[in-house]
Amino acid sequence: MKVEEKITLCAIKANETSHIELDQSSCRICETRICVKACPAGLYAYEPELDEIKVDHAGCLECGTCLIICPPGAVTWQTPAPGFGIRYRYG
Amino acid sequence: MSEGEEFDVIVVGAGPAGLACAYETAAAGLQTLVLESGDAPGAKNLTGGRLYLEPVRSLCAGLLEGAPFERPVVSETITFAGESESVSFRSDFSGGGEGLSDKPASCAGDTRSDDSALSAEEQRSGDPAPAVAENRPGGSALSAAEDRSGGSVLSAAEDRPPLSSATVLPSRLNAHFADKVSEKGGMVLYQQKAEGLVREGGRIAGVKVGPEELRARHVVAADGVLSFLAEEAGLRTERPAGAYALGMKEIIELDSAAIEERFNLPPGLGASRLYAGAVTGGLPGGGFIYTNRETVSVGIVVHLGALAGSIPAAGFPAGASSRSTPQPGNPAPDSFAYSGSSTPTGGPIAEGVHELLERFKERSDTAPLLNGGRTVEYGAHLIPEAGFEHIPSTPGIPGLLLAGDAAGFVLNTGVTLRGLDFALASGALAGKSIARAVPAGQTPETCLSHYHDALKQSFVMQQMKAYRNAPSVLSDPSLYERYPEKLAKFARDLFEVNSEGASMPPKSIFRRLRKDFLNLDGLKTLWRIYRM
Repeated sequence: MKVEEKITLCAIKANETSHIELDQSSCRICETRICVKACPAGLYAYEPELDEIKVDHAGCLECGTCLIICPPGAVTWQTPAPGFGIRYRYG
Repeated sequence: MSEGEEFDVIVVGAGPAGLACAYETAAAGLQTLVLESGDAPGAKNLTGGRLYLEPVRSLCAGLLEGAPFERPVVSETITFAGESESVSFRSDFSGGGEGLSDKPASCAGDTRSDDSALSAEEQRSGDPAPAVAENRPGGSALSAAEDRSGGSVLSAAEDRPPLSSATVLPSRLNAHFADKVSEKGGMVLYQQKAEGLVREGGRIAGVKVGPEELRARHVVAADGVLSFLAEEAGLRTERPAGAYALGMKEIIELDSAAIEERFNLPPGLGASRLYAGAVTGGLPGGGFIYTNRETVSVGIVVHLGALAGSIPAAGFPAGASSRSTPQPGNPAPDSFAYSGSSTPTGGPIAEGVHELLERFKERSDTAPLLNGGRTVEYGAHLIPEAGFEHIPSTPGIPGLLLAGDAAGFVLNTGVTLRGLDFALASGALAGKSIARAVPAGQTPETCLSHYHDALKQSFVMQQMKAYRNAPSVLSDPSLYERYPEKLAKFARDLFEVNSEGASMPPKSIFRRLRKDFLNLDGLKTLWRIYRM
C-alpha cells in the first residue's frame, strides 16, 4: 500500500492555513533534503523548477520529525489550530 | 472560564500523563482543568500499544479500574532478522492459573466492541449476568481482568497472578481515563490549545489560550514529546535528532479467531513480537507486532539520528558522510549493512522512511500473520529515547511540572520499550505532589521539589538512571546491521542438510560462533551490553 493511500485512512481535518512553514533559503543550502525521505507521510517534495521544497500540510500526522531532523530554523512547526489536524481513532 | 478566576490546577494535554495527574488532583477535591487541543481525549496520541501494569498497579489503581485493555500478553517473541532468514526466541507463559485453553478470557470494560469470548462464556455457564471473576467455575485465566461489571484488573484472585501487561489502543484507554477524571469532578475541555505560559513573580501562573489568560496555582505540561511548553519554560533548549526515535504504525483489522490461530493464542489472550535487524535496513530500531482484540498493531521504530546519518546528500551516492553506510563498490569487508537491500542509491531508504513499514509487512515471516487484514489507520509519532541524559535537570520550574513524554520519561532497554507506564506514574506523582501542596499552602518551589523527590524515589527516575547507558549502547549500529543477520544465517545453516548429505559438524559450529560472534568486536559489544 502506498503511503498516500494510508493517509486517506486517517481522520484528518485539514486547516486551510498551514501549520508548517519552510524557510526556503535554508532549504536551498540543505545538502540532503532529508525531509523528503524522513517524513513518514511522504508529504515533502523538491520542485526543481522553482528550486523549492513543498509540503502538503493537509496529510500531516503531527509527528514532528521534520522539525527535529531538518537544519535548525528551516521548519517552523506548530500544532494545528484547535479542532484541526489528525484525530487518531485507534492511536 | 472567565478571566480572573484561578484554578488550582491546569493540566495541558489529555493523554495518559495529563489524565493521570488530573485524576489525582480532582480526586483530592482540587479545582482541575484539563486542556486538550484535539477534539477527543488523547486525539494526538500514538503508542506502540503495550502497557506494563506492574509498575502502576497500586499507584494508578483507581484510574485503571475497569480500563479497556485489548489482550493480556502471554507470548513474547524476539526475532533477529536477516534479509531472507530470521531466528526467533519465543517465550510463552500462562496468564496465570489453569484452564486457559477452555476458558475464554478477555479484558473488557469497553462495551463499544463486541466481546465474543465473554458472551460465549455467559452462554456456557447459563448465566446472563457477567459473573464476578473469582466466582466463576473453574476460574478464569485473568482473574478480574475480564469483569465487565466494574471489577478491577488490578486485583488478583487468590490462586492466580494478576495480568502483568496488556496490549492497548490509546484512544480507548484515554477515553476511559477522561471519564474517570470527570467522575472525580475534573473538567476536560477539548479544542483548547495552550499556546503559552503566563509568568508572574518568577513563577508560572497560568496558560494562554487564544486571547485569554487562564490562571492556575499549578500548571502541568503533559503536552507530549514535542512539548512546546517545556521549551518555552527553558527546560528543553535543544532537540538533537539523536534524542528521538520515529515510530510508524498501522492498525490492521483481523478477526479474533484469525489472530488467535495465527499467533497460537488462547482465546482473548495476546502476543508481542519484536524484530531487530534487517527490518530497519540495519538502522538502530526495530519492528513490532502486537495483537489487539480484533486488530493488530504493526510498526517500525527507527532512531532519528541514525536515519539522518544514513541519508546521503541529494544527487550523490550514499556513503561519504555516513558512519554506518559502506562506500558503494567498496563495502566494509565484515559489514552486512544493507546487503541485498532494494535501494540502488545506497542507504536503507530509497523513497522514504515509510517504505520500511511496507517492507516489514511483506517479509516471509510477517506476511502470513497479516494476510487478508485490512489497514484501518496509519500513524507516526516521535519517541523521546535519549534516556536519563536528556531529561531536564529538574522536572519543571516553579508553578510548572512536566510529566510523561514532555519530560522525556521513556525507557528503551532493547527488549522493552516503555512509555505508557512512565507517563501514568509521572502524571500521578505530579498530581499527588500538587494535591499535597495546595491544601497545605506550600509554595510552587516546594511542590516542584516534592515532585522531584517522588520521581527519584519511584521507578521512573530509578529505572531511567539504572539504564542511563542504554541509549549509547543501543545506538551501536552493529547490533542491527551485523549481528541479527549473522545470527539468522547461522541458525539457518545449523538446521541445513546439504547436497553431500552433511550437516554442520560440531567443530564448524564452534568455529563459526567464535568467528562471527565471539571475536574481539563481538566481545566488546557483549561487554558494553553487560555494563549497560
